[in-house]
Amino acid sequence: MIDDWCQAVLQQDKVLPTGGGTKPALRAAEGVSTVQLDTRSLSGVLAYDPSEFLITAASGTPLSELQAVLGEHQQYLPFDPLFVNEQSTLGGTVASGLSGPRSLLYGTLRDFVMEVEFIDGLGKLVRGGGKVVKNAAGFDFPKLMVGSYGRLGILTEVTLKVLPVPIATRTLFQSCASFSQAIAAAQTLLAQPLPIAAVEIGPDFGLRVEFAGLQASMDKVQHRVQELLSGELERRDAQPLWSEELQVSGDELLVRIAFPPGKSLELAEGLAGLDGSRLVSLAPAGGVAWVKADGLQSLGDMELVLQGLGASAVVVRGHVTELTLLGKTGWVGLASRIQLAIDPHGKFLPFELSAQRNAVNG
Amino acid sequence: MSRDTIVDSLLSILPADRLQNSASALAAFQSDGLTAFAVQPRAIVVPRSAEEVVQTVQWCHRQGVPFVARGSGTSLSGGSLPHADGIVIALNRLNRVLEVDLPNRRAVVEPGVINSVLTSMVAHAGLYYAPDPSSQQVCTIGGNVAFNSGGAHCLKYGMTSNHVLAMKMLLADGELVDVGLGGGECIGPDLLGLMVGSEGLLGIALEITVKLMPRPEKFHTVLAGYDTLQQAGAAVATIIGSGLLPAAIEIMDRLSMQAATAAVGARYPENVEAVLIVELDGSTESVDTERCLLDELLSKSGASEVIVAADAQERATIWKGRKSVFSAVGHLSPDFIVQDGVVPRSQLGFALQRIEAMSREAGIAVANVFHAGDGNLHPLIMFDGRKPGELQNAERLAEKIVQLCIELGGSITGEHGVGMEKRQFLPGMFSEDSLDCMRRTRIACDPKEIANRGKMFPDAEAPALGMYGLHPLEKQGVASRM
Ligand SMILES: Cc1cc2nc3c(=O)[nH]c(=O)nc-3n(C[C@H](O)[C@H](O)[C@H](O)COP(=O)(O)OP(=O)(O)OC[C@H]3O[C@@H](n4cnc5c(N)ncnc54)[C@H](O)[C@@H]3O)c2cc1C
Repeated sequence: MIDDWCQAVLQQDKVLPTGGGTKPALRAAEGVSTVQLDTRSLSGVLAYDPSEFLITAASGTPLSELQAVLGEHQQYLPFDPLFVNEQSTLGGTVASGLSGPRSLLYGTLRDFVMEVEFIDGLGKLVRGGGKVVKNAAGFDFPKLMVGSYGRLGILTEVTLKVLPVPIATRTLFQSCASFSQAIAAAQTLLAQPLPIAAVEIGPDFGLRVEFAGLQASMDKVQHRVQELLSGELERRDAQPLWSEELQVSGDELLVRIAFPPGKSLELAEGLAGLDGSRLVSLAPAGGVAWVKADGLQSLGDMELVLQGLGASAVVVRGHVTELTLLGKTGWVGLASRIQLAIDPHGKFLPFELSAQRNAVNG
Repeated sequence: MSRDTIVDSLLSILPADRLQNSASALAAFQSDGLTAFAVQPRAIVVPRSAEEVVQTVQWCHRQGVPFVARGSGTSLSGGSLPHADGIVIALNRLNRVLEVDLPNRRAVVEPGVINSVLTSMVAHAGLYYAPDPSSQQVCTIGGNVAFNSGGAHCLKYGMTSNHVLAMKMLLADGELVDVGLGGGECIGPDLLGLMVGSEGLLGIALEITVKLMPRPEKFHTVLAGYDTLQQAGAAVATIIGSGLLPAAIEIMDRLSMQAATAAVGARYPENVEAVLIVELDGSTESVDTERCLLDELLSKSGASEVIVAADAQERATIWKGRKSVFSAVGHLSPDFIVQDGVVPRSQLGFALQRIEAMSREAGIAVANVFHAGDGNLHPLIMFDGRKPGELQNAERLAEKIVQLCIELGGSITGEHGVGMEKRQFLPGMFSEDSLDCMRRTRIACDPKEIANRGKMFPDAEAPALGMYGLHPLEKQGVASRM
């Protein structure tokens, strides 16, 4: 299979690796003729020794399978992967660079990709990193592949660091009167050395806090959180603020925003002032938010808010004709330079901005 | 270019006092922490501003003159060794903390800021900068970024890469780029991740935004003695497997303990072959609960004696002992080589047995002290360079240990970088196609291959080996290795 893909890279004009299709907007390329390589045909766990805290699997392996295998040994993927129930694949997860709200405890996806194997634009099989939890040899290709959107190589194999599932977690919810109150509460908690696993703020100013550790410490930590946050705290199930909320229908678009620190409030308020966009969840510590837009026409207003804050964004779900980047896109220049090195003949789709973005910008 | 031409040409773009080319200056910069290599550069540029660094690098690019960025020169792999035809860009004067943002727990620093200086600047607000290489009193954050440096506490908190949020990166062709947004996540490929740990081969980190963390409220630090190294290794697996994530888990062998006792009077359990240092940290609530579990695990693991640090003073003594080992061993033996290989955790016991056998076979003493939690070995190979053949024998043993790490599926370096020293071993880890892709990536940022030319990639020319020994800073007792 890998040989076939290497051949495809050599022989075809443009190739596009695909996974479970849970983030279709990242691979949109209308009007470009591409040969799609369905990585799901390369699937399965290749190595897993629970005592090493490492799991190696083919890129097309569904994350649900990975989680099931890890679960048997009380281990998990600490970056809190998304769309697992919808059959997202390992390769697609790495290439989309998305982590979930619970990544606050141990780190986001980038902190857990230890080794990658991919086919570069010359049709060669390339490896970076190593099957150990600590490694400083060679360029950090494992990190480079995080968020590469299928444009820097066709991932064939990935080794992830995994960790024991926290023995206990607890979720608390506080209704706040405004974004500024919710964000201030979040800041208060984050300034303490507490074992916080997630802090998210929802569109109605609800603050969800999850912490983790040993069972016996849960009540004590809850007590401490209660002391720090005046106001009533409600105990909840360990669900993210959204569960169905990341689904889109009709023309709706799901947008992932990454913003600089200290801009939580401006972003939340800026978005609240827009007609065609709605905040789903905002994680002040990670500097990320999920937002839904009514359609392409709503992106223009959002673009203005993002530009003003120095934030970057990408459309992850919904109908777009090509990779749709918003806000600060200064990174595209360097990414394209690196792409030219890895893929000198342009076999993968470009990162570059295009007609659609210009349309968005009016 | 001749020295004179280089100096004349640089004088046309920089004030005269930014240039050093006296014999003593050139000699002072000829080596880094790996004193086996010595090369004098054509000149040393000491910029006072980011703008001057940009000017200098653009000049290098135009002229095709190689440059080596340098922080404090504590690299243990020859990373900051000068290039004979090039210049050194010494970044120590760029040592301003540009911004401290307490509410958002981050700081923006110039590359020459000393690691521990940042922590002392924010300590009043209950914050600290987590990466703690034991050279932290002297090494720069720029150097840490280039090598993705670690420390004893990277088991829980990760390496430098996990703490850098954004950078202004001056690529080797003179273009200044922003990587990372400063919040932790980004859109598109993780270019920041690629830059950190690139060993100065892509350009110079000119402005670095780092994460600050709330200082743990409580520590629980223990020393546990074992009859064999293997038992200590097994205890590591038990602790990690229990779901506890200690801040640090370190192992010292008998020889290391002896050295630490001689040097700083550290006390260890009696008659044991190995000692485990485990530290829990965090909120009072978490540490109080976790220590009960740890106590239980240690008593089941066959520890012959467990010593708990009763207060901050005793904790400091434990760490002082641990951090002093290498320089202490350096006092016992005139010369030594420190290796930095990584093995899969499950192979730790086997690797230690093999190293012991190889050491016996070669008749060379090796002390072991290592970051057990993540399988990062630091075997310390002792020899006397004045005796003919000893350096070569020690080198051969070092090479065998590196090969062993590769054979066991590990890595040739966990935190010291490939640099000059381990270039020839890189093909043991990566295929020619992989190295070629890395080379193309380098050329994308540095078309003339002037940034740290000759490092990391295996095929570059190597200067002859000289003598190993204590780093000048260690001789002064300013720093120690781990
Ligand atoms: C006593 C001692 C103890 C040590 N302990 C540890 C330890 O515990 N953990 C650990 O990981 N390492 C350790 N080291 C190794 C060393 O301290 C680290 O590698 C450190 O990060 C180097 O920092 P420096 O400022 O001395 O960098 P230098 O040695 O000056 O440079 C290191 C590399 O970085 C490049 N560089 C420097 N500045 C920049 C910049 N701004 N942009 C791009 N490239 C740059 C240089 O070209 C060189 O390749 C130790 C060394 C000694 C001597």
